[in-house]
Amino acid sequence: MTARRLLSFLPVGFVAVFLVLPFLNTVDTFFSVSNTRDVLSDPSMLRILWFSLWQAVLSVLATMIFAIPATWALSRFQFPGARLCRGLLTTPFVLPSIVVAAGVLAISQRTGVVSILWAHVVFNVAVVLRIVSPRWALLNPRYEQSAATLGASPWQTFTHIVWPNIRSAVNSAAALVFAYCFTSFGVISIVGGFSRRTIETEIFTQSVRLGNTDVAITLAVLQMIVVLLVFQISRPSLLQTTSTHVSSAPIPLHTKPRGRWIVLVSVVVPVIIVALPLVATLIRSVSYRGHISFHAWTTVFGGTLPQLTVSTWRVIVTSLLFSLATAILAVSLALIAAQQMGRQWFHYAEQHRILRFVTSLPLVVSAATLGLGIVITYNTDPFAWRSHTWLIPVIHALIALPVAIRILEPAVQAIPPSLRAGAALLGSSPWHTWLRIDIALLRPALLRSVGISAAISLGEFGVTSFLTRSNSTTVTMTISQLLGRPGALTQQSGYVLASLLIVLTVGVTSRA
Amino acid sequence: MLKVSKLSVSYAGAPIISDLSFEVPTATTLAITGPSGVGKSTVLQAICGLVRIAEGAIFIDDRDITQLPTHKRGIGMVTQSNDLFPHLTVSQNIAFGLRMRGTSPRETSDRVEELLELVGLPNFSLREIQTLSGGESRRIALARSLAPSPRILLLDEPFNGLDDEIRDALMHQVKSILQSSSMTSVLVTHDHSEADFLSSSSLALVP
Amino acid sequence: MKRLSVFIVAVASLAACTSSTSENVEKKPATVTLLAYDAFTPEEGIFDEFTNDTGITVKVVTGGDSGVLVSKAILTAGNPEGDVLWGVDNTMLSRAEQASLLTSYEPVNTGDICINADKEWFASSDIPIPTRLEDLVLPQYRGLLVTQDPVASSPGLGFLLGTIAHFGEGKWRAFWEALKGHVHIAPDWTTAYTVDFSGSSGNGKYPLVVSYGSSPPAEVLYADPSNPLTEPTTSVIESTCFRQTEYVGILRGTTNSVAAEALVMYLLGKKFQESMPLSLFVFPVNQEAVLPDLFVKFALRAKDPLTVSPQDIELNREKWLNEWRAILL
Repeated sequence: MTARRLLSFLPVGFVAVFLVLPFLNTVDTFFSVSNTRDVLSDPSMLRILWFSLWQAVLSVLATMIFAIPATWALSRFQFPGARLCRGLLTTPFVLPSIVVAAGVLAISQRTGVVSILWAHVVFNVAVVLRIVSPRWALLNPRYEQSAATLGASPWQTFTHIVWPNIRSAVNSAAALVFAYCFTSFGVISIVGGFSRRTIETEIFTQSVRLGNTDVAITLAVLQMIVVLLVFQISRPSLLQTTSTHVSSAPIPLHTKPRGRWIVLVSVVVPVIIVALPLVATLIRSVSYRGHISFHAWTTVFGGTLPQLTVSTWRVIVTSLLFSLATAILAVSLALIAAQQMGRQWFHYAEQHRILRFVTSLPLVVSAATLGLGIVITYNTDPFAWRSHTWLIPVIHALIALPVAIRILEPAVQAIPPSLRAGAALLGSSPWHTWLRIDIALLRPALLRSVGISAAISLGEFGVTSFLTRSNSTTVTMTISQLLGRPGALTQQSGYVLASLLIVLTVGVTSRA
Repeated sequence: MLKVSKLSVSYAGAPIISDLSFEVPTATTLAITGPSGVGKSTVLQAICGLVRIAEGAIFIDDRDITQLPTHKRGIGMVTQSNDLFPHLTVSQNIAFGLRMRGTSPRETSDRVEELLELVGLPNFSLREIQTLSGGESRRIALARSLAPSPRILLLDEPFNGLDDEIRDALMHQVKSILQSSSMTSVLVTHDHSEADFLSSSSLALVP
Repeated sequence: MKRLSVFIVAVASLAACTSSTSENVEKKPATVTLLAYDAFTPEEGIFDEFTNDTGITVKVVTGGDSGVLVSKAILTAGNPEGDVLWGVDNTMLSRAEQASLLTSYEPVNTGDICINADKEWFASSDIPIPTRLEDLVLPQYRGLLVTQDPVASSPGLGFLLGTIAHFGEGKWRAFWEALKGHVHIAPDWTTAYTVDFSGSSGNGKYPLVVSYGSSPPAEVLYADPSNPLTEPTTSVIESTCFRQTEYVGILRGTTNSVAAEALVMYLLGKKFQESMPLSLFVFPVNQEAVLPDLFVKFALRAKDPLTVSPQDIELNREKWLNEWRAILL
């Protein structure tokens, strides 16, 4: 019993050590009320705040417009190419923002709000798909058929039957997308153009470029408050309908009586929007001023990277080890947290609130602030962790934790308690019930969260670039290094690595 | 009157139903019987537009409804899985079809009460779906499908999975409802006694 | 059981690649830690000679771009992550001085931030390559230049400082006001050079870009082998060059200052200085260092570069950036 209690503190303790403490330490060192007054009365800062807000809201709407129809089509119907489409839609989430942003820029040829929205849609369709799709699949299509026989039009069926059942999943996805877009750094700084500044880019400018750490911290606190408010508003209600629905297999599309083209359009349009920047990346890896050339591919596969001293394989192995460690750590912690939240007894309510709050903090704190916080907090013995390599997967796991929890929690709740009771009646010990019932039923959700945690680790750039590394360059950091130097071969090699990431991830996600 | 003309349905290239024609005169019940897997339920799904039909046409009172979407066909259906909406209460479930047609709240609540009386479950309106027994669920599902006054009622194994006692009571109830409302209906069942009791004519599908 | 063993292997391999980092240098005096920005990619094996001569192993740790690196180091000045810091440049030197980040420092390399031109583009058009900053506001050169946001990008900042040095505190604003609407501002060097510029790997539409005096030799050395170049496709406009100097210094708080001094000496020595042009694409400061042919032929080191003192930069940077932004927005 005590071991179990101890275990239950792990997720909160983990976030406390690697995020809350460094953040509070930074705030304690640099935050002041007078500074906050200055920032809040500076018109240019208010413009930044306002732009951060509306671009994030528009990004969420744009993402939903493409993601909801695609999620519907992919969780409801089965057709040739469906898996590939799902893979393509979920891939960009792991790509470094520099690659997606450069892809968007190569096609749109202009910086500005439209390009920001496009890049945010490319990144976040995956978030909606991953969170909403399992819930949608739980909703038996027979309900929709019944509604139709009762005279409900497709739109009425959606608003009355489907929406109430997927609403909490959509809300939680929307809040997550908002957090990502509101705090997005890479996309804004590359495709936003120099006139488009958000809180996150300004935090970086103030702390790194101008040395005004106090202003940066004030902005970080403001940003945190906004995201926390949004999470508070979108919090799933405690009186959620218990999911006793049974998951149903997707229907073969060719048996659908009519409107098959709607399904295809719902998938094809988002796929085109998401895939175009990826295709641009592939094209850049083989083209040089109108010529087609595979030299960069042969160079990279030969093991060397132009202008860098590290070998291709070393970079790839490092990245894979980090993502493996991240996945193990993040999913273990997320499972502990999700199972605790899954116990729906009243006297746990307060504890759940704390758990939910603390484990969503990694979505709230800006990457630059977290990076600086760790540097100034863990720099003296015996906690001189700032330049230890293990810190990289630990921080990646911290960032992956809220997402992994959001994938596991609904799955844990969908397990009918009667199954556990039934197993116990048949003589199964709690440990065996956990292993044979819980874990067995959670397998798909566990695999999904392992996949996404590993992916987050592969693509993470923001905090990693603040950590000190020795011989531990990740693929993402390497891509940015290669793209940051002159020479056709060097840049093409950067695009080759990015293409490798794309192909690998499409392969993995369209199977999982 | 319901008329099915030269109906063919196939699945992944294999025909499930081919060239099936029949008529159900107004205010009568046709029973479709046959062993499981023969495509009885598929016929009902084709009638209400839930599966794609390869060939053939479906008429209600001589009007071709083959191209109409399900929700515009005015056909009700009860199945053995009930499919009551888990997030709505009993009365909200029954009122669902009426709300879709924009019936006024007052008229709706009167009709819901009337139907709850009809299926013998007065005072059930505020119950949660999860609290219903198998027989109660089936009767609520029946009430729900009758609420929008469909022109045709399709019954897909409506007595399956119920205790004998409840089943007999429900069969009598259904029979009296069908007769009193002059409903045109199609019953799919594997049980000949059900077919004999409820239907005026029957159609046996063979593999 | 199987799962457990996978876990153990993962942890073990992670531990293997962790292998103790910087901090405890006093216990291992045979190691000196060089803290550098991510783009620090010295020639392979360049420190072998140093290790042979002194018995000291050089451990290179990197942590962000030069801005991130120096900001981090300043926040923990006196309690450093390494012994020697590579990569404070003249735009940040004053900030480092104010925080007493370094106990001593010396220039280690120079590079020029200059406008590069797409030679092919100009050859196929009627207009000659511009030669002065003033040319850029002439009608025929409008809309040809892409530079970087000076707030986010160090070449962008260098170019802005160059215009301030050239036109003077009184007139630089007028230059940018005339340029407004006729210059494209990219967010960073990568986008400007590889997407917007027409003369490199991208297929952009701008034949003039703010880059480095050493970019042309990099184009030759790292050309696509299927389209090898005998000479660069780009050239450098000398009068636009702003001189960037990078410093190497000993971090305050190191307990390893003897080894640190030895390393700084080595970095300033002939061997390392001669390796820098082709590995880091910068010019040596050591007069004895011989430049490689490629640099002699194609790289440009301005004879009379534009400069602004580190003190002036530190004092005015925020004001200049805000003014620049107000003009261009």
